Amino acid sequence: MLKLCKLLLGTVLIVFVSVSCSKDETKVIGPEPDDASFAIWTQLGSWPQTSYYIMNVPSLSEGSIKLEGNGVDVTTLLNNSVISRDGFYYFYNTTEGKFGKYKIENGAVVVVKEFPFTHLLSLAGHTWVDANTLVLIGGVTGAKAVNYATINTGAMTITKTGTVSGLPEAPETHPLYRVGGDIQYKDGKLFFSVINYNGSDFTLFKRLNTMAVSYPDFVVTKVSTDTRTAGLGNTSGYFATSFVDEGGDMYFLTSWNGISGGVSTKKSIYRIKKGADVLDPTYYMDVEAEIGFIPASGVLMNLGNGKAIIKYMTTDNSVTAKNKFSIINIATGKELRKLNEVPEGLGSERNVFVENGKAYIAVLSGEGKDYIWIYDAATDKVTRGLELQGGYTSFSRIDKLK
Amino acid sequence: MYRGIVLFIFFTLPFVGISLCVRAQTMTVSGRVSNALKEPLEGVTVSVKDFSLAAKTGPDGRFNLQFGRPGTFILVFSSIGFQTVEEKVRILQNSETSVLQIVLQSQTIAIDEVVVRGKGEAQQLREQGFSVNAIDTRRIANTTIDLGQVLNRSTGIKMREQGGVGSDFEFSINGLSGRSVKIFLDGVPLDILGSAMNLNNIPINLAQRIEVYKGVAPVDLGSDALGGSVNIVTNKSLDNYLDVSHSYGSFRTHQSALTGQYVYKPAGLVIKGSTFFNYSKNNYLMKGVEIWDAEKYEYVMRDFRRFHDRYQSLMGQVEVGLVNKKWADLLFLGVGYSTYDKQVQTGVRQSIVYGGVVKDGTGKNVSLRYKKDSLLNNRLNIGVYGTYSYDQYVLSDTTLRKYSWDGSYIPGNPETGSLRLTEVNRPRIFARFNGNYHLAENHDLNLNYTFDQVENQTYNSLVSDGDDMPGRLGKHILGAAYQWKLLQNWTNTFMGKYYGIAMNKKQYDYSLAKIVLQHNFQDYFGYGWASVYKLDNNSGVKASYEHTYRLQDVNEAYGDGYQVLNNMDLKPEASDNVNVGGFYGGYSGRQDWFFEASAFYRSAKGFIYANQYDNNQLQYQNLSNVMVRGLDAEVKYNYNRLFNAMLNVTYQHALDNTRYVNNSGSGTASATYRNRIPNQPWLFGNLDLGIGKNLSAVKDGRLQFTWSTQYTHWYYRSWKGFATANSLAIIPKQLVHNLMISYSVLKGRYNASLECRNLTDQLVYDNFRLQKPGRALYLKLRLFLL
Repeated sequence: MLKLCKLLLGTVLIVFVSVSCSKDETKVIGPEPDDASFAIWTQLGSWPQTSYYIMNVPSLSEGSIKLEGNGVDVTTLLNNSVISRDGFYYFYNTTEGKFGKYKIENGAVVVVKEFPFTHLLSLAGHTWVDANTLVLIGGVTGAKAVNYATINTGAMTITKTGTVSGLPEAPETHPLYRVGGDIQYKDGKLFFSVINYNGSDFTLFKRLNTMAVSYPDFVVTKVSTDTRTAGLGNTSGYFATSFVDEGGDMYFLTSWNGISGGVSTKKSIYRIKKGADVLDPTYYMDVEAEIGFIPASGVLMNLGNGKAIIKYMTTDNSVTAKNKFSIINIATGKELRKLNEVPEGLGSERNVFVENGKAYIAVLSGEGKDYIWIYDAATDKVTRGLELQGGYTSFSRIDKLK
Repeated sequence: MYRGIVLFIFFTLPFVGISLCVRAQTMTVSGRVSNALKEPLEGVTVSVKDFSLAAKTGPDGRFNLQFGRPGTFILVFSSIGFQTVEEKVRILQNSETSVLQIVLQSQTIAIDEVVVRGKGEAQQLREQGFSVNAIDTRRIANTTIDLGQVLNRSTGIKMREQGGVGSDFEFSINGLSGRSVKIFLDGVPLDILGSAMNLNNIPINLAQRIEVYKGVAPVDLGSDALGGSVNIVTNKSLDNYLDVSHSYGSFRTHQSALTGQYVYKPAGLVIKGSTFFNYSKNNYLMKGVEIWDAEKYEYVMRDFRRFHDRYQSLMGQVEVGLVNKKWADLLFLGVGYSTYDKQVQTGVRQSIVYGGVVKDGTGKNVSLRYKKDSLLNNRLNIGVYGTYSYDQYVLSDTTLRKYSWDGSYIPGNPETGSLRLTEVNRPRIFARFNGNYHLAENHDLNLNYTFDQVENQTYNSLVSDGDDMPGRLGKHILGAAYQWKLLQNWTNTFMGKYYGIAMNKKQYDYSLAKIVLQHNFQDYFGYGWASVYKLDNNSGVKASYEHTYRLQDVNEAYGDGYQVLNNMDLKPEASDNVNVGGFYGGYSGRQDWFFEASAFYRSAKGFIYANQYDNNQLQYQNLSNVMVRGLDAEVKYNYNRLFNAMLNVTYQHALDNTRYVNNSGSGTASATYRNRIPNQPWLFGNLDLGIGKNLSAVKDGRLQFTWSTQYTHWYYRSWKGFATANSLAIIPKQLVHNLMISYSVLKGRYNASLECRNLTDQLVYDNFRLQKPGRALYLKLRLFLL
């Protein structure tokens, strides 16, 4: 019996010692690069302990980076729906009811200016009229209208707010409006689309309404419709679904698309030609039919010289699908080639950055180390760039800071 | 093979002991049992410890027991409402009849009468094999704190509150929190009494004792608790009594409590009731909060009082029943009602200011409780409990305003993100059977079956009249425990648990364009062991282990058919929990002390959280694993009734044990694998000091002074080691001192106490950027009539 007592007491002591001596792994927090030119957004950890970080990197083309000591923790300050321009981030914080301008400095988010802002239920789309004029659009409570706001990002003042007038009439069966992130400023006007949906089963009315809207009055001057799809560009900020090319033509990719009967309509690319106010009737790209795969959530980016990059899912199941990339001739709506050199990656929202005809793609491969893969439209070659130490949950954006 | 051997031993061991059963009876022990007033007590069970021999006292309090052999035996005298008494008797061959005179004391004892050397039930629990915090609340009945704050001062427990009275909170035991922990009131899940019943609003005077089972819980608390269980035990005496109290304090806080009981002894009729009422404006000062200065065109920092945080709650519970009848030791019929009304001041951070969000709810229940001991020749005790409850609450967000800390507002959007009158209705049926069978000397078997079915109806009444697609979850939990006293000082409890889960959910089928009913049934097995070896009467070592589950909720498995996808592969959260500890108590002259310490290990797998996809859809998945290692210790010291002290400390090292990203089972190792879980306290402790003196100038008067200090070490808000030094957020340390002076006369009949919490007015946080109240004063008056 005495032995048993000793055994039990010994066990207690061993557990105490092992617990109290357990090594607390301290990771060295290194200095963040001062000359960081790019920001890669990552998410880390398992739910609910997920944190959002910006990794500052001097180059996307070379070297290697790991998050340890180098991540700007933005968890309660910003999220990856930010708008990026000229080294600043702009963010509509809906929960706190404020709009702000921020920069990354000394390894932290610095507030440049914030002011109260409540004009949109949430930010659906944004576009720049000029370097200092930002247009924001979004829904309203009750989903019966679309609101807008224009902001002078230099002075950080609200220059105008209101409701877009002249929206196309909603069908009785689908009385609510949804506006997306496909907005662009072209020919002195704004172009974006709305769709109608049903508030009980949330199905969409199978009709795309693309509008020409006067600026700065925000009056709908022209509506063109198409019934081959029901969808909009995904929320800008999180995604990138539209652009105006060097020739002044606008392209956009639709996404939201569940209609009644459990059917989803095709995710499609549309064009509005320079000088035109309506959808180009000669242009329609059924992406799945063309490339053989369904596009992923919202990445369509312009590479210049008639080329664009699009992200697609390798399986039908939007939940478990991995993503790959394809290069398309945007003017003809034909696929040029798939980027088979770039490995499959897990869903990571806006994980592509495009500059000077090159696409920088952060791929979360889920296998060992990850890399930035660089596609050069001029040479049609893919090279491997910056090495990213793995183990993250997502790469949600890449931005240029300098 | 191994499993088969274990099962064989489990089922055969009891029968080995049965062979030691009693033989023929020839010698007699008789006696009389009375209460403290010398009145005879009828219906008292007189049993022979470790033998299946028992008798009941008659109307004159007399009993007879026949023994078949000489020897030394321990007689146990027990009755509902009285403290159990053990009496050793020695029976010689052919001896004359022994005659005993036994006096049973009522279980209700004013604190002044507590026998210093007696082992209370709380102390007896601490000396079990389970890792238990047992808190005798009678000693602190004059404080104004609620049960949550009492628990927060004990080892291994952390209660993280978002604000003042009635605020949301997270309760953790040894690092596991939320749905991992289950709370019971007298063995019944607390939430059955309505969502108004929470640890942070139940006054101290409703409870007689609180038991916290850390990691490993006895089967009679039949539930799927992953990290532990809390059982609040109310007064079980059979005296007439009335305990009524009211406190008033800072932030316009009123807290009233009344518990009472009337016993009509000739008929064995008992009427018992309890009620409480809480009200608080919670308008404590928020220091340095942000507000927009239109003239300066910038946000500035100012101090403001909270303006939308009023909370009130009311609870009433009445039970009527009979006790000590031939056919029932106890039969009670009860009804209960609870309601609350709560304004919500902030979102998850204090920079998210609400001014219009309101939550209120009501709970109703009817219950039946039955208990009968000493069946089958004193071998079997049974208890049955059943209840039907209906809980409903409404979360209202209809103002379309954006509020600032000064109470002003501008037109805006719904504060919580959507315009709503979210109605939640939860009809629930709960039934429990508990049986304890004495197999033989040193061998007992306990069987527990719980059926708990709840339907969850949730809808926004601004757009819908009801929930077309409610989910219904039925849990069948069958537990068996076999207690074997292997040696005189060594007791082992072996436990096995069966979990059956029936899920029903109506869902809209888009392809059929109609609502269809879906059904699924799954089952799981858990097991455990608890052991204590007593080195002597006051010290021992113990260990316990359990493999346990937290079953998945119906909405987690089925989703909502629209934004939340179903996941029929979802598994329950599972955990392997280990405790090893020891205790040592003693006394010398007027001093006594008690020390206990334990080390714990938790390996919890498959925590269920919603995973959000790029297309904005969610799906509940088994996303993360957590491993916790730690230790806690507590030491108590008393010097007569003059001085008492308590010091405890808890250290817990919780690691992210999720090897692969999103728990996918393969691929890249997660960057946070084996990193310390952030946003969780890991080192905290408490110190209580008390000095009291009986006053000679006042009849049975006493003055008591109590100081308590709580310390929580600072911790990281998010993962340590990844963020830059300038962006790494921390939740600062908390060092809070509280002070109480209480004055009582007539042995605790009349009591007045003055309490100051957060004496030094520290700015304290439990959560990132959510300030808790500063210094607060409370006055409590309490009347206790026996």
